[in-house]
Amino acid sequence: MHRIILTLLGIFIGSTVQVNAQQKASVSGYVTDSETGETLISANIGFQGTRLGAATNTLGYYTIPNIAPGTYNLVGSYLGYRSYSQEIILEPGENLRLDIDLIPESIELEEIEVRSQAELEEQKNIGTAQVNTELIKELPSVFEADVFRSVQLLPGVKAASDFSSGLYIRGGSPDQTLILLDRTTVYNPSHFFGFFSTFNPDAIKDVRLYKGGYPAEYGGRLGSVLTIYNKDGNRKETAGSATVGLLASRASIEGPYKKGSWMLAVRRSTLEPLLAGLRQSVDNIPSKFYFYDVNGKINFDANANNKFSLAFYAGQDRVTFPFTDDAVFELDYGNQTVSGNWTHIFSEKLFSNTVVTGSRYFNYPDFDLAGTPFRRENNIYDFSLKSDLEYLPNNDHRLKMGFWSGIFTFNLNDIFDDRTTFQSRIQNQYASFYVQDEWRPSDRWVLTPGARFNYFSDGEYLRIEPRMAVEYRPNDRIRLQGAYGRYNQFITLISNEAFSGFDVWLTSAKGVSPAYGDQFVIGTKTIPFTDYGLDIEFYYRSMNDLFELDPFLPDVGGLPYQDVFRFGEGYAYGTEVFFEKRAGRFTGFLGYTLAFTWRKFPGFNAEISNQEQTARFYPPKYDRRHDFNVVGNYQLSDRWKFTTSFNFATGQSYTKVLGRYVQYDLPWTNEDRNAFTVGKVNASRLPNYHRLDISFSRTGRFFNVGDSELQLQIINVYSRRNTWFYNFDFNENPIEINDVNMLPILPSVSYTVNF
Amino acid sequence: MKHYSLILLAFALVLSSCDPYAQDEYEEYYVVESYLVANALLPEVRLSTTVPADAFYDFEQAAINSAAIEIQLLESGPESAIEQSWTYQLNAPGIYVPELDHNVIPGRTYKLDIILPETLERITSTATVPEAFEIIGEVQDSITYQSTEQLEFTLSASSYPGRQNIFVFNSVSLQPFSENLTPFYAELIQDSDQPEVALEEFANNSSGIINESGFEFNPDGSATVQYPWIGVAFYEDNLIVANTIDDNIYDFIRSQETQLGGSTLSPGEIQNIIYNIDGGIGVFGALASDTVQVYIKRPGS
Repeated sequence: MHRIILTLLGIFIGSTVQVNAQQKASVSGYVTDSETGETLISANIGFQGTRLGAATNTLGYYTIPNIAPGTYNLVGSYLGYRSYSQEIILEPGENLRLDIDLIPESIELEEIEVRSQAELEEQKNIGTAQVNTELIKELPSVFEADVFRSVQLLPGVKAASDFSSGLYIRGGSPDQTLILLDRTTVYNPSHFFGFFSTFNPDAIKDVRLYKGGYPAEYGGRLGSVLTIYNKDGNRKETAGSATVGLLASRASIEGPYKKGSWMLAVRRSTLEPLLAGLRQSVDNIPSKFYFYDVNGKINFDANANNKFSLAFYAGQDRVTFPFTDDAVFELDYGNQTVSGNWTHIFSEKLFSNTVVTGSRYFNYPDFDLAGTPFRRENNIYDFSLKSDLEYLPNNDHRLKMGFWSGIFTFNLNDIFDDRTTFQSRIQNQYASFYVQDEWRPSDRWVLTPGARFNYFSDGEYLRIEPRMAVEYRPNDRIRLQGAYGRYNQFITLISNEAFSGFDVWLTSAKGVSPAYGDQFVIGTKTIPFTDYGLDIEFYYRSMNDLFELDPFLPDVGGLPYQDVFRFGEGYAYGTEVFFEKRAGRFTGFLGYTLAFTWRKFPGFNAEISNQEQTARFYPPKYDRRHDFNVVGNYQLSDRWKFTTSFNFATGQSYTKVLGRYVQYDLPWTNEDRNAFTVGKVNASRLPNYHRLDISFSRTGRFFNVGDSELQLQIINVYSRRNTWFYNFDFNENPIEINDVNMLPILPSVSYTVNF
Repeated sequence: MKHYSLILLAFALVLSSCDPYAQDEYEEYYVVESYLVANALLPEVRLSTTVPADAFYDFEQAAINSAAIEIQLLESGPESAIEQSWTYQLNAPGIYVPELDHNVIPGRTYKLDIILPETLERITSTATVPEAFEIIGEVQDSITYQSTEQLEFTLSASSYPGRQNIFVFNSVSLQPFSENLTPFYAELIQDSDQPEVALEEFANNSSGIINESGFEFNPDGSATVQYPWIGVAFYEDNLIVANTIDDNIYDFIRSQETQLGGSTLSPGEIQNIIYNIDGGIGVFGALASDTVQVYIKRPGS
């Protein structure tokens, strides 16, 4: 490992010396929104008529090094913004610092202006998708605009049900996706027990999903990475918005100050009046239920080369549910994150970002049944230091390296009848180091080799992960791409797709090897016509040493840690098609996924007559063979906009019960035990799923306070009663099998004022 | 564009046309049910078959009445020779009883051996009886419901080969009348679709599976248990029973209870129960138990 690091440092130094000797010039700077001063991620900057160009990084910073002195027309572009163009003259050896403001494109424009060469080569790496934050607010959503629900519309991403915002990506369960908010891990990003995600759409500016084959700068999960960045806050003027909705209301305010900007966004459920009304006529209504979240950020621009920011998030759900006079259930769960970020520009070629993060996840379910209390105290604390260096020795290489190190503390106490029945406190140190190079040996080829080294203290696990991405551009409109990566995962989630409020994470340890897997992705990204995109990807991924809580353990007390788990394997493969219209009065996309997911655990899905010896691969419930999404967004007039989404998917897999019998004589109960015999697990399919949602929005003025937007939405327009699962009624003989349905038709209305 | 579409369509058709994971058809299995209780007489054995899930279920119709059944005491474990055996005879449809009495010996292994004369099919299973234990020391003979002082008793040391003891507790009401229900269970009965069935079930109210590691152990190896109020469904006289179970019952219960959800498995992801029977399904299990009687007083009485 030391030899590899030394070699890489040698490349760094050698390249620097070579470039300095040539007396080339460079241009670098931040790209921001002209109205708000928000930095723009993945904006394209380039020189017209050349292939010199770069995209801004996650801090909105770009660098184009190694430019021959001369006069150029610098162009900048970003989807939804007017193209930027400026003539610049570069002297030998000049390092021009040029911060660029891009002007948001007015929505009245029917056609997008002709775009620069650089934009046609928009930086879209394999397996990567970006979700427009405006689209998140515009999409029809169940009561509340939701980041994860929007992500679920992308090909390769599936939802477990209408009630779950969990992300099932390319055959991976939700715990296989690393979720980063301002570079900080979020462990249970859900409100309302999983119904929707914790991220307030008013507070975020960028959502990016790395579905698979993701680069070496990320790690820690087998499947994918979702990065979410909060807004920095308006650097030009104080602005805000307030939205009143059926389920929740939210408000945000942002603005500048002398040395930077700030932002604060809050959201809270507003269900209390509804619950109070329901309690008058309906039994079993919670006596208390609310959730809230707060996002905040303050930026301090110390000077041109140093920026600091402090961001925080806090979210919580609380419910109290007295389901009889002598039984009450209470649940309190949530997340808190904080991150302190320092961006430093050493030179036009060397850029660094260092962040200190803290993340806490907690849940405290508390039952009191007939005078017998049961309480769980579950806390996760994750404190880390992360630093990334980006170095551009010349136009052919973009080197990135960095480390991420931290302490992960896991506390779990189960207390039954005032006695501790299970207690666990695990503290792990983890560290990772990565290096990757984006190498452009020619105009047509881009190679991104990389490697990531991971260490996890419990069990002393050291894992090396090679990564490689290759891109070939036969012409300006077609990119052929491929990627391979090895991925490791040291933690696992204990959850239930129907309810995320009890989620518990457990870690690998001595005797519990981390899970690992390989991912292979090939694909093409094309621009068949101006402003259209067509992407096709094929993927295959393996999952080995999967460890998850053994579902057949009613009590884990006293068991050795490794005996709490079952260990399995899996694989998934499929293809995804994404056809997009990016600009104009009508925008939208069409996504199709053909997917196969298989898992296997010892003894599970075994033949009934040979349970010890056999286990077979089975499709998990969320496996869907075909998944088809259409999203359309049409500007009807200056004021009215229509948005729709339609999803058709093969029914989820389920296990058909084949036979039954009854056990009568269990000595400790008078209950007759009904038992099923089944064949292969999940070998049948529920009816196909389909749902159409629509949304109309009208913009206007709210007195003289500011612009307003009224949204009228209908979820499940034709009230398709999609089946979630089947329920068995044993009171009937023969057994009655009933559908448990998902959401019926639901209207929703919200009103937003921007000031 | 056209080329892409055609390639994609072809790929989709190829992949989706073959189904390597077809749904199985219903298959009939022999079903066994019998529980050895330490120091108790040999139990009856139930023998029947499964029925299709959508068919009317009636035990008598599913019963097997022509089997030759023996329970055998093995010398020293599951693979050892037979020390003694007891022949069973049909007593009622599908229900067999031993021809001779025998008290089940704690710590010993028994084998169930069933032969079906028509087909010569054989069903076998072995069960190791947990070591017997006792509820020792003083136990309150009456206690006020939900008072701060809980029912407390001490279990003598017990053992099961290869693992900690696994317990199930139950309370058996001796006056299981609706007016004797404790408030929590009274409300459940009110909300029930079938209150009479629910009342009968509550009359023998069990705790579910509990590992002994959750108990408070005393220096002599005995364990002190505080009986939770949730386990008490009726006021007045109750038998409180502590049971320690063998692997066969443990496997059966823990997997049967996940068939209808409640675990980390997704709803509808049902798997077969874990069986320890060759040639059939069901359970041939063993347990040891001891009982105390306690009078549950109404608060304020």
